[in-house]
Amino acid sequence: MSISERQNDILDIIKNLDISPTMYQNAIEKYNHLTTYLEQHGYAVTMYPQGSFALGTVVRPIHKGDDASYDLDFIYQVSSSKKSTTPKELRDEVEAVLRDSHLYDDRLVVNDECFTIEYADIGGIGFSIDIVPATAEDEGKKLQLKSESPHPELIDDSIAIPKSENSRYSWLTNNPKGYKSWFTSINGPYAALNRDEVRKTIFAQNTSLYNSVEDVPSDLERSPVQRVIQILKCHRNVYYSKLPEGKELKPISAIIGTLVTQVAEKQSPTTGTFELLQCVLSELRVYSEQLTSDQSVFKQAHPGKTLLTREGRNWVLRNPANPEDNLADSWNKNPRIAPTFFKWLACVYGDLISSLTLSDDEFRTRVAGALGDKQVRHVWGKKYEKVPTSTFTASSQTKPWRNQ
Amino acid sequence: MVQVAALLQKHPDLEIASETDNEIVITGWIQIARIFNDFPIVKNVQLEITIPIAQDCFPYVKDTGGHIDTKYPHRYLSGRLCLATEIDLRLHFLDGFDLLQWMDDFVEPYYYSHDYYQRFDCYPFGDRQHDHLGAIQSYCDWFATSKMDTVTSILLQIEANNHYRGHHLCFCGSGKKMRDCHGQQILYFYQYPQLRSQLISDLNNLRKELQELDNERNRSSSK
Repeated sequence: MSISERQNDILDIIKNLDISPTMYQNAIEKYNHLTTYLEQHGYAVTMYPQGSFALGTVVRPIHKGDDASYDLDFIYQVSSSKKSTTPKELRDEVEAVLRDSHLYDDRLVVNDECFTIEYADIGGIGFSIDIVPATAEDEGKKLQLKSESPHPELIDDSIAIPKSENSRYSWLTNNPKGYKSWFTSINGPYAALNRDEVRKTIFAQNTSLYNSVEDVPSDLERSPVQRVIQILKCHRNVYYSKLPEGKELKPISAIIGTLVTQVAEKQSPTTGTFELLQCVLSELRVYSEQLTSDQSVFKQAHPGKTLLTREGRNWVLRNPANPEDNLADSWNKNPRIAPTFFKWLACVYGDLISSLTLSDDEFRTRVAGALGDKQVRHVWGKKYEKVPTSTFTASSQTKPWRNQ
Repeated sequence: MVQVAALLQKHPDLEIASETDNEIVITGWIQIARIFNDFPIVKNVQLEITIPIAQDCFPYVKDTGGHIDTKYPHRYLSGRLCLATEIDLRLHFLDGFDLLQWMDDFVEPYYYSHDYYQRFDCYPFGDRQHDHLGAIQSYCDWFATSKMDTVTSILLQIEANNHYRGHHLCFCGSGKKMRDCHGQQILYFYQYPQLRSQLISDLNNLRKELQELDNERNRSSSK
């Protein structure tokens, strides 16, 4: 089998974990229904997607080794100013609005920082919408952020969201719209390159949903940048689900997305998905030297490497749209996160880059180990499989021992 | 020899390297193709298997292909692999040793565990602690208790009592009759003499180890 055929086969697995056009349409309908309800009841709010749904990098998560529901995140931004409300009041207001509807009240789950509306499964796949209350950040704060940001043009979209810590509320600055603008400015040229072809393919596969190619929502197009983020998220979900304390060690999607996009910024938009994946992995491998070497030594050896830095002992990855947000914050609270992250990246390289030139059987085993045997079997059937694997019986799950 | 022939038939890349009155040495390659927790491993490994003849001990394996990291905690410096505690092996083969089953249930899981551990920093089926604590853990599993005190009490009383009495109080100290408590698991140590011998040997080793620790403590306190 050729390398490009293998790459396409890996992408088929990722596409299978992407949101389908049917699920996308369903999510949009639910979102429209919610905004119509809010408008009809006189609430002056704006709702917009954030995170992977906004960026086109959704992947279906896994739970205990099996597929879980899609989580789609939305910002619920009120028109009143930050000064006219408190974080607690804003939260209570949004909860009251949602509780007011019988439709949403029954489905509502209250979390620390958001409200979740859980929907029934469609075709065996469930999804939920997370709603984060927000208000526009005040002008004084925006001025301060602009002075600190390398991208001041993004700051106008900053919002403040209620943050709860031990039942005490405070404001937290966030900027999902600004982040999307930054992402789009880099992803746009990549997306534009094969847009017509991508849209035609989506249309051809979903003729029952769309009347023409023009009807295909642009949110369903995927560029190499988006695909690389999806590949890494899928691999991460499987890998960290097997680690003890994987939940605590797992890198957040924003770290993956930001690092990939920053690497993509320095490449030509004609770079293909796997070429970009290799670039990202090779580039980030260099940063692992910061685990052991002194900062000054690292800076001297790699003067241009500033994507992920260490300030003193702290890891720093600035949110491009919010200078106050260090995406690597949790790395500084748990020293195991950073080494595990770089070990994980090395596994991705072995599984999805080095494996491309191995024998069929080794290639399949690597990819099945990377993205889950069940997923691979579901999409590939027995392709590349020469030797079937057998499970361990209860009595063969034996434990190694060492006698000194 | 029947078992050896069956092994060579199942793994055609293995061959007899030497044969004496005491042991048979088999070398070559086997293929591991196993899956656990949705994570498959398919690989060929090179090894050397030594099978003692007419001795009451299990075969052992050396990794000759450099597959097992020298820093891996379950490997001797000689390259010999620590597949399981002696008591785990004996409990597994109560009704006689089977070479193919030993390969399937100990050698292949060992290699699988190693690769899984290298990738995920954890053992898919757990592991045993070093030295005699590992053996005690095996007994804990067998008697379905996590309490060291309970298991030690059971072991000492099996050692001290030559006969099984189901109507007596259970050795675990529960206050129940043995037959209504750990009777089934205890009975094995009276039905299978090799289990009782292993238990006594493990207890003696444990005593020796404790004595050495005691001596060491006395030496350092007298300094």
